[in-house]
Amino acid sequence: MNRRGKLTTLEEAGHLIQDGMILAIGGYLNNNHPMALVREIVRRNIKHLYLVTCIAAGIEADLLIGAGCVDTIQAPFVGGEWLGFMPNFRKKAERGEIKIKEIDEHHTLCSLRAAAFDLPFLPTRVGLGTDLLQVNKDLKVFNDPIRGETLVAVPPIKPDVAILHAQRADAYGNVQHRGSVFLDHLMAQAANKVIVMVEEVVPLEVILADPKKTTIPSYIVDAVVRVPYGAHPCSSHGCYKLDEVYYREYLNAAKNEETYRTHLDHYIFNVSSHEEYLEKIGIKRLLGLSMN
Amino acid sequence: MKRLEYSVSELIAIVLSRDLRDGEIGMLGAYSEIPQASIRLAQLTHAPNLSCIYGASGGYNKKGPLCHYVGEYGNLMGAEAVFPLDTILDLVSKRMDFFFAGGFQVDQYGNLNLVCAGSYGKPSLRGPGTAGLAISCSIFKRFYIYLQSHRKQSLVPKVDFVSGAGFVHGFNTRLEQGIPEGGPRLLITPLGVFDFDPDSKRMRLKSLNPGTALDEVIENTGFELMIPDRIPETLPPKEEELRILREDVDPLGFLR
Repeated sequence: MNRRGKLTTLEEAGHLIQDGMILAIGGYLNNNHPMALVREIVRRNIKHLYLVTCIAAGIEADLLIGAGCVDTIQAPFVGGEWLGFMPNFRKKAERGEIKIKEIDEHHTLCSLRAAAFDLPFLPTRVGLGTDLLQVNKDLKVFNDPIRGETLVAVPPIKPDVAILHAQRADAYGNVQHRGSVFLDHLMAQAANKVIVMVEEVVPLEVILADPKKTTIPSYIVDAVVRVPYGAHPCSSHGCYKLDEVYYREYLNAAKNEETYRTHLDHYIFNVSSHEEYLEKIGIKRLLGLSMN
Repeated sequence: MKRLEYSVSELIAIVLSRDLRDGEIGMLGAYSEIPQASIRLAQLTHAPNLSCIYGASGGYNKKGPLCHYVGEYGNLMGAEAVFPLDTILDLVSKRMDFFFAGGFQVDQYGNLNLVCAGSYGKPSLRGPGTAGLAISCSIFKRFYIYLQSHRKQSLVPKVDFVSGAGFVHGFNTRLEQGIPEGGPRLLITPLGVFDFDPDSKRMRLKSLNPGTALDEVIENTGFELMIPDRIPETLPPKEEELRILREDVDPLGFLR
């Protein structure tokens, strides 16, 4: 019997994501987000997602929120650093049109670890003295039975699916990040299903030659999709930089509903493949972002 | 002596750098060009044994010029190590020395807000989130607050949402809430440097930045500051500090 390969297409991987699921998205701030899969989710009009992000989320969350795919988001930060606020998150939060599970960075870590360990909660001191405890009733203050300290219990959050973007993997799902792994490995441990997009699929021999670089082992990976430039407009660590031109266009388009809809039509709904999306960005700009 | 020209960001970076001690370990978050510069400057001057983790990219003791985006790949180049973010949060739990914080609201006890202005349910402004202020303000032994503008709207009597706890309601209330000892050490704005009264934990003026009048500070602060009898001027950048900052730390001029 042969070892099972896990290579699949964006379209097929997209079918693993269904209405109402808890979806974890890898990457951090403006880096390594699996944007091609995010666009696939928007194209397929998936609804009522509960979004779990890294300790800083950016355009990957904002795009799904703007397209109406998200009911609830748990994220300690949604923004673009120097690029500014994320417009759909801000607008919908101010209008009360999205539920926010208000948490801090350590709560993200505790909730994913509790899920990975199958524990009812993990304790932290983080949150004491803040208003998080008033607005997020899932965070419960308790007296610890060992030292009698006042602590906060953080319940698990178990993603149905984690979608990640890394730089390379083999066909079996051994994943290697070229730069930061951020929290991708922990999301993979916590989630029921794991889809990894990569810039490059390499033969197993390449992984065997450098096993210390493997960040996620194949047994917890369900699908591998080869998507060069799949993190665009975000950076893919060590492969290409973030596309500030696209970000500005996005932030401008999000200023009103009509221009945002035109933006989604242009880059997502009227596009039938990732290659067609890249054609719209253009070879010149893509090569300009390349770090190779 | 000739008068040196420098930007507000350069002044803040230099004032911060002077307060960092040799042998300490600190951390940086996003939007952190100024703190990045202060750490590099300290390492290249009085604190060669100062260490720093870039909380976003996971880089440790990065050398070389400042990067614009904290999470970018360039922030791993020239690092002594690169850690995943869960390892970094574990390291934070060991009580590092210092962190740099900001917020769109800071109050008289050094509590910070990056979540929302107005009521939580119907905010007039929704910010990005707590952004790690809850952990950083509670676990680090001390933190520095810096603001690039000094306005009544951002220096408020009480923040609308506590995303990072400073001295809570003053006096011993921070410890009473179960938060480890620590809290804000300094606030630095374009107008001056501020610290906190050891007893009441209320914010007080420490020094006025060169060219700032006391009235300007009072008019632009939304609460009553403690004002000492004698108010020194913030020591302006020295020629050597500016030279190292510009030549070695920030050759691309992000702070200029």
